[in-house]
Amino acid sequence: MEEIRIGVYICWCGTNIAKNVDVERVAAEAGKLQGVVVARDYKYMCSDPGQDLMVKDIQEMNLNRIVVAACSPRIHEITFRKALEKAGLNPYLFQMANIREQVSWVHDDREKATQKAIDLVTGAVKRVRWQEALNKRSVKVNPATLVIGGGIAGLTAAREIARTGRIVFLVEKEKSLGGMMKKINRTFPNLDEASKYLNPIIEEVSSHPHIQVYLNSQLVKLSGYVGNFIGTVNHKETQSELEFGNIIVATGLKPFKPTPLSNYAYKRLPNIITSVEFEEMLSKGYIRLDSRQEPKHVAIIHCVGSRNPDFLPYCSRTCCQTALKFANQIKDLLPKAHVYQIYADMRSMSKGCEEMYSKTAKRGVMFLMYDQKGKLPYIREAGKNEKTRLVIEMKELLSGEQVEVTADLVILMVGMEAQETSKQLSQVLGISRCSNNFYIEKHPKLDPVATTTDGVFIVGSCQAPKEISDSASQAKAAAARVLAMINKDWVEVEVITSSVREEICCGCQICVHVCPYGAIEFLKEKKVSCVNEVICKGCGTCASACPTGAIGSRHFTEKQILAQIEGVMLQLLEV
Amino acid sequence: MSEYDRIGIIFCDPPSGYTPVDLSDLIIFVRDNLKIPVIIDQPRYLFSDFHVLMETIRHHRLTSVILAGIRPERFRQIVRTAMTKLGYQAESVVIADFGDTWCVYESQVQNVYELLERVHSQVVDKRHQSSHIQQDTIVIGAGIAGIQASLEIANAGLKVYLIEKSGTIGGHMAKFDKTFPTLDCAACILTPKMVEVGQHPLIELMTCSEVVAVNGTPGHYKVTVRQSPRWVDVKSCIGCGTCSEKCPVKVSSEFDEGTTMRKAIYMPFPQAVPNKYLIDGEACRFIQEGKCGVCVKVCPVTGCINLYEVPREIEIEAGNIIVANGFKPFQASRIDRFGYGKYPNVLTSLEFERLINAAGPTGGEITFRTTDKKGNSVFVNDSGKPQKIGIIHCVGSRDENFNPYCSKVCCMYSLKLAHLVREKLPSAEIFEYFIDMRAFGKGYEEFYCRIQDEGVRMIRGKTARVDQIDGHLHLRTEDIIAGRMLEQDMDMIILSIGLEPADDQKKLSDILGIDVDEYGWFKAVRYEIDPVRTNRPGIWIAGVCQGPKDIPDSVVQASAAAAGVLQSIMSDRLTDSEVFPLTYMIN
Amino acid sequence: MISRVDPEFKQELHKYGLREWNECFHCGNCTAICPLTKDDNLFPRRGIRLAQMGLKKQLVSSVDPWLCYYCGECTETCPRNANPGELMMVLRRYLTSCYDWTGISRLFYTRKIWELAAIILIALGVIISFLVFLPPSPDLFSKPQAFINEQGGVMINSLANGISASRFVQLIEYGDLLMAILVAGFLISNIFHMFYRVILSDRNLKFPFYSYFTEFWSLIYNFVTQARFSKCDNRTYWIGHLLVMTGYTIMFTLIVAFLKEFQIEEIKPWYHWQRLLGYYSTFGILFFLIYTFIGRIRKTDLKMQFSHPSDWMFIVLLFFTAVTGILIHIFRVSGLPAATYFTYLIHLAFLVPMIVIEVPFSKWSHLAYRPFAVYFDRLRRAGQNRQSIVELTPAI
Repeated sequence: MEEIRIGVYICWCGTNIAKNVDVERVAAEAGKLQGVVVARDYKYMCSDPGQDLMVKDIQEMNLNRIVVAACSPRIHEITFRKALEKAGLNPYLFQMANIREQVSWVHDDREKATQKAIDLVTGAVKRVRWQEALNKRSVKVNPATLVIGGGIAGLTAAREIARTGRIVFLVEKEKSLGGMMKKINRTFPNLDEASKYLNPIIEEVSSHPHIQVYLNSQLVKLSGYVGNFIGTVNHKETQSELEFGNIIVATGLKPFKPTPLSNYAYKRLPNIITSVEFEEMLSKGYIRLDSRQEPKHVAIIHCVGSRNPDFLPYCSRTCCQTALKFANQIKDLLPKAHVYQIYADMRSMSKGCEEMYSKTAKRGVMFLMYDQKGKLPYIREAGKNEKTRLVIEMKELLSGEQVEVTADLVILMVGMEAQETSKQLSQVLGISRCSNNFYIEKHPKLDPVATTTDGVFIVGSCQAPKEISDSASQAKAAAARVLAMINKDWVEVEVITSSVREEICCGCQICVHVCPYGAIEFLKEKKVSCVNEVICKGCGTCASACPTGAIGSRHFTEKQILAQIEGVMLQLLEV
Repeated sequence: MSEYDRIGIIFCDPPSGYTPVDLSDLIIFVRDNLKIPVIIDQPRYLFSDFHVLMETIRHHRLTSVILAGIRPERFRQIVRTAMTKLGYQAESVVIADFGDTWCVYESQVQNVYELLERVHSQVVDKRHQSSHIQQDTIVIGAGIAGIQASLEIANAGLKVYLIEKSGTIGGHMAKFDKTFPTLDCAACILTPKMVEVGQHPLIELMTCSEVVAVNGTPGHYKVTVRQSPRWVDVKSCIGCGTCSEKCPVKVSSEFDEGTTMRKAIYMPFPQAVPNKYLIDGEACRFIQEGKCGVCVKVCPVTGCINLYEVPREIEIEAGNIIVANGFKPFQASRIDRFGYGKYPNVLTSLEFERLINAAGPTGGEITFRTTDKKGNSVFVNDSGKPQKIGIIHCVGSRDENFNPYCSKVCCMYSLKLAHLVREKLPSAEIFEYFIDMRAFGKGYEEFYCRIQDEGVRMIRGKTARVDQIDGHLHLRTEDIIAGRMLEQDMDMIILSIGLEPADDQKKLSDILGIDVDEYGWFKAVRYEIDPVRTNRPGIWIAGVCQGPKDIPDSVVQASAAAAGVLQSIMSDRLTDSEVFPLTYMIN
Repeated sequence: MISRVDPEFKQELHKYGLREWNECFHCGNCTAICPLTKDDNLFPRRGIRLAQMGLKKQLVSSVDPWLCYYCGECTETCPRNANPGELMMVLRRYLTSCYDWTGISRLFYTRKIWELAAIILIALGVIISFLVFLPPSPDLFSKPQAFINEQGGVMINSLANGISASRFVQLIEYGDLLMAILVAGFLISNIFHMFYRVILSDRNLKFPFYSYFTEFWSLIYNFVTQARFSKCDNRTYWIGHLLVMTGYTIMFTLIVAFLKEFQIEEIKPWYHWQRLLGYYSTFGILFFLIYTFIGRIRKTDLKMQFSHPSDWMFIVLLFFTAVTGILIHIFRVSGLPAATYFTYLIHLAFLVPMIVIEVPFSKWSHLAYRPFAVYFDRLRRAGQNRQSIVELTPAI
């Protein structure tokens, strides 16, 4: 067996780590450990010079194991593995100790934090000794793509990919394409007909030779892995099995139902409608009350459900700008009508929307600010002799006055929430959801359209509410990913996988049930389990569940883990 | 251009009721400026006899026809039929409609010229669609958007030239300490990407470079790049820093927003990519006056520093160009009421971003700024800690006197800065003066609530003026919600400056032939559903150069622009008939 | 009773010369930039807000518009070009018409022709009654020497036919007094109306009775010095304003209360108090007039960019009154009795409408409203002082 020569690198992460951890001491302590040839500290290990430092050491000192103590491996494990590769070392002969998230960010006591960092580094050093070289594997990519959702995001993604001559399966659960945008009459800030943009795309997608549209359909089952998925799509009574390489999820969102907010009297009093219902009315080309008269006073209430800890704690992003658009549309259709915007913060930040705000003000719309954190506006029926049917009571913050607003028609700018099906679909796809039930992206800045499941992308409003142009951008961004993969024709897959030692396996099949990825199959004739290593993500669930220890996870062998535990506990053992 | 491609323009007869007009000026313009080889002036009976029309087209060997004049739509069908009979596509007939006013108002002449120019360039562009699209891509600007777009394309196995004006990639994001709302350290997110760009075999990184001319046609652009000298050879420099140590010239560092000094030969910042030194030609004594040259003497690598290097021009052929040249921060001294430039402890948000950065002038300590003996503004390490810090929103944004648009990111980065202050100075009082709090993205509202819970005081009301009285910064603000005037003394003021189009934006728009909006941001032809596509096929825009946006949105746009590039290469076509119509009218 | 917002109120304000203003998005810049705002005096923004919402009751009970001296800085720096300074001007016109219980003021402001008609009518009335009761002496042209005194000046009180000098002065004095009573009657009742709206109608307002006396000095002080004005950045405008105000008041006092001492046959030497005061007033008024004329014509200053007809009316009347006054003086000293008589007549034809129309019903009424506004504001404040001083809400 070759001599183990370990290099240890402690990162300052600017002051992120250095402020609470004496990195120099950690390096000095690490240098004393068995097998450690060199231990250094550096300001930013992840930077080019930091990596170069490591590469040079590997080459000059013949290092064959590397430990980096820095941030979470989620952020930089791949970076450092690449550096090892560059230096000619197998990237899996590497271990990271997380001394930022697990140490400097959570501890104040510098002395104890430094000790903890030393313990973690010791664990990593002990572990890395037992690590083995693993080899990268790649698989061919099926050029077909599955797009779930036929709204603007899904349509854009499908079209973008299909135009290169690759097959796209578009699955839409409704009976027609267009999604939320179809319900929108005009777009902001230019008040263009939404159909002007949407119809050509729908037309192209539905008639495109490379796009197969499945209406009234849902993806119910998925197997396979990046580049090679097999999905089952339910279409009324029939089911079809499709094969594709990537999945773009564009399931969008749904409007919040304002009934629980009793102060807005939705469905209790007449002529109180949601923004979505108002869009429908606008699409018909008129604004009318139940009595078929034209309203003289129209009040638009913002943030209905949104920014409210009891309902939707987040901002729904588009409603302010839609409300401004409404005001202009009302003024266009009914120039004499009085329009009131009852808002909390005017979030007209998109391109051209601040200008739309000032234009709306110029047209004589009255803006009233309500106390969003305090008592919400209250809608009641007006007295018999009043000119209007409804009265809104509110505390106006900009004047500090308690006022009443008369209205014939009240439009509630309802927030947007995740689809009801989001949970079911997330389970099928193996992607996670945030506390607001929207899908979680891999990284909000580095990788805003990918998910933790390779080959599954999320675009548009299923990730968080967003406006049309941002949804279209995201759709194209995901299309870029997919196209890149198709163009390259292959994709790397996980090498840290499980494997079964058939001689010990008792055939209990516990592993088959616990595997979240469906990667384990039971071989009936041999009566043992078998891991499909392309699907396996190396999560280790099977290994921990196996009663006989027949399943082991590569890179997480018992030996490695015990060595790490021993290292972490070393200090305690000595005392 | 193939010699078999010939464009003809036909100035149609005006419809009855209109007096024929003198077209001589227009014809001269078309002949001399647009160089259209075949010009047919008011052909009377051409359209009444199909055979004559066919013969004329055949005689002139026309491959595309522009029908110009008042309501030329009348003749489209017949010309199109003739062209298709001759084997050309229906799209080879393009309409330039002068509108009804042409014969009445001579003031329309300029508009007509512009219209014809537009139509002509469109026809020329379209004609070149027939040949294969060049596979290489040029990305202009290496901020986060440019980096992302480059990686996206290069990871698809295609070649990318990344052109960056300064000596390093990274752009503005490299200067930030942390990013909202997750508080990830900006360097932690960005540097791996920078390293990846630097090491990617398919990305050719060109720093200190600018695009100076674009010729050719969509799918086959010939781009001239001027590479200013670095005076240090990127390949042989080992980054030891000896040169910088010995260099006698000190100037203020752009990377640190002027909060620190650097040498004339310098590394922009320790994590710069390429991680090599370069010389600031304007500061270097040798380049300016011919004296000094110390760096050459101390450099351990012979031939690495060459003080006689001259600019070079390189021509690159590219099928697509992605523009991601970013933005310029608003110059705070333009609003003298806030005392920026007058009072040392009135900082711009970007300066504060450097101050609070671990790699910044004070190593992340928040200290006071004073003026040293030489008149430079410096942060002094043991000058005490500010205990009252005010953050003024919308500086230069949402203001008709400066920029009427919302800069979109300032509210959120201001909240982030407040959090960073709170983290470093737990006892400090922090005030945010805002108009509307625009916390719109995923997790932003929650972040806003968190910052409020951290005890940062939110005051609705924009500070109108800052005066320095007895060493304190005196603020006058209306606290609108409390209904009273606030007159407060602060130790430090942060101005949340907005974003403006970059200095080279106008020049780039001229060179590339892409439109800008009223403020100078690049314009997408169909912003609503395709915010990255410009009026020129094969030229895409991404990131802030199209309008203010935050990092996630910039990254998404960069990927979206990459999608356009990949799609065009993989399908081998560029245009989109919805965007580039067959009828053009005077605006 | 909770107030209702009234979107139609802006149409009402348009009649008072309102232009672009609704763009205001309430950033508070105008209030904060104003050197005169303090504590809860939140003008102009609060005024804009009340106007936008059409809260008339709150508007009329607010004295804020009077506390603004229109230096124009708010308008200059307004991020929305919403013109807050101009709105304050409009609100002053609106308030003037609100205080005036007769409705005349409102009529004059909203229907411009009425003001002009009233002025012409009064001017004609003055001329006719003068010609009837104090007709020119036929000797004015034939024997001009008869009207010259030993100093070579015109005996101004002896120019009417068959009326003795003392009788002449007395008649003019009666006229003066009648005018003064009329004007004072209207003005005082308007001020009382203002007092009712600002102080009495506010049930929640409580302040000690002695404050009426302790705060009274502020009324006098502000009237005399225009002190608040001096806080604005443009000092020339303050000086001009101070000069015209004192000059006008001195002249008014002289001709109403001291006509017998002022309008005498004898021509006093130039250093006599009465001539010095006259010169001072003339200088003050002319200085102001030239300053505003230039400003309004050139429109360099923001505050003078939009002139309501009523602003011009006042300036024009004042100008002709001043010019005719100067001419009387010149003709008198030069010994030209006929010219003196007719110039005197024209002088009165300008002076009387200027005082009768402008002082109680139009622009000039701010002379009274402004110091009273300061007084009432201090009274309100005296009430608030008794409440605990509102501190900035502490951090959570």
